[in-house]
Amino acid sequence: MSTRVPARAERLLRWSLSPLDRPAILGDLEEEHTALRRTAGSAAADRWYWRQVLRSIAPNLWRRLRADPRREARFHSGLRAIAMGVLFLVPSLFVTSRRVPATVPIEWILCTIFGLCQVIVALVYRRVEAPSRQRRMLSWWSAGILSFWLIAGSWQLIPAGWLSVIVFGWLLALAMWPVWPRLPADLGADFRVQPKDGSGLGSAAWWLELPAESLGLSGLVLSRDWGVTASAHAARLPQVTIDRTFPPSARVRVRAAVNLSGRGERASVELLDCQGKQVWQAPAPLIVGKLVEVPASLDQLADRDPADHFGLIDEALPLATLEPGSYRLRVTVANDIFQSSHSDEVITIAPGQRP
Amino acid sequence: MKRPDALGEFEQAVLVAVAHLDDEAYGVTIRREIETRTGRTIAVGALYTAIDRLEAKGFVTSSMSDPTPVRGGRSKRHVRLSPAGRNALRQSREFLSRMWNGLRLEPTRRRV
Repeated sequence: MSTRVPARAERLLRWSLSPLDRPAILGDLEEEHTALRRTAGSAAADRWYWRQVLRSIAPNLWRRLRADPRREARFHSGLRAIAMGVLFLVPSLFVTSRRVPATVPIEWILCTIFGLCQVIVALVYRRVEAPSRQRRMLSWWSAGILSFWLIAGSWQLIPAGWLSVIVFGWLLALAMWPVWPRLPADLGADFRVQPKDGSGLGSAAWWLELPAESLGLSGLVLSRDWGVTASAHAARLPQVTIDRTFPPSARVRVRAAVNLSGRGERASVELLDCQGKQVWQAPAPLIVGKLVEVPASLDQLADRDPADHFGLIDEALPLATLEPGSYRLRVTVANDIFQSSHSDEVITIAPGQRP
Repeated sequence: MKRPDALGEFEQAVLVAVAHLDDEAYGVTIRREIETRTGRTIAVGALYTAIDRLEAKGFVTSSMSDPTPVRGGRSKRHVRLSPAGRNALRQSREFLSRMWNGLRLEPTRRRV
């Protein structure tokens, strides 16, 4: 006899919930499922669980949409795109005396598909960065096709048509730019988080394994400011370093992600010498709302929402003030009840010129 | 036009259940309370939507408890009635009782 809730139903429910709602709702259903299993049997409890999940999907998705302004913006832009599609369709329905140009249905299909995709993405997917390239490409192509239809007017005038695409396509694309659905603003790549398996899309600036348990800490990442800011390629230089030996003049920061419990966490960073004696400690402010996850799989997307639920520790290490030698780095996070720490990083300060 | 702080039927049921349960009010108990008293089956998603709405209106406050093993190590969301919620419930009952005052709805009899 199964002692767990139906796995597929739980997965579906977990996916439909916003991260804030997950502990309470999953816990409620598990508690009731356990009670029902004792009184009515496993099959009845499983059926009840499935019914609850299926009946709750719509309100859950709606609440998840309303809880996230970027998701909501995407939803509304999808609706706008569908409305644009209808606008394209209406003339083609009324112009019955003329041959309906093939481009009108194409425009309608483009808008409707784009709008539906936006709505589905907003409801189903978790928020991701949306590059404005999609918008540019859609704008350019649809404007090109529209101008082809307007100026060439017929498929026989191929050279004139293509000329119009080249000359007027860009002008129309510019004119249409404001009316195309707006995607969420680029969030920047400063603080990007990717699960450690590395199967995500795009290039991540750092890889921080997100801790699943409350108040959990990710591994520590050391990043180094190389000081080549004058170079045009400065932004492309990798900040994350695998070096653990630094000259005293190096500017090194330690970074880690913390799973926030919402109980007023405090974080601190310490350096301990080889006897375990504390030589330096600093309270580290927890930066919230800056982590952006690169999606890897639907499960990971459903389980994590780093911007809201993970804090970032980002603290500079005072290498110049310490004697050369090896030090253990320890990051500690505590709230009123629990405390967790991570201390498996050893760094060495090499003898050298001090700034 | 509907007032922004007006109580819907289901919201009212949730508020009354929270008032009955006092410190014991969280998802499971609220759902059971409503189901026992009304005989209606409540979807957990709908219940939390109503709680969110009530919290946005300032009628209830909620807080997460510590994780418990019986719930797979998950927290409960405890709900408490706020003074504004208590007032809203009282006003709602007075409003309805004023409307019902003097009205007796007998079951209609079919003439033969």
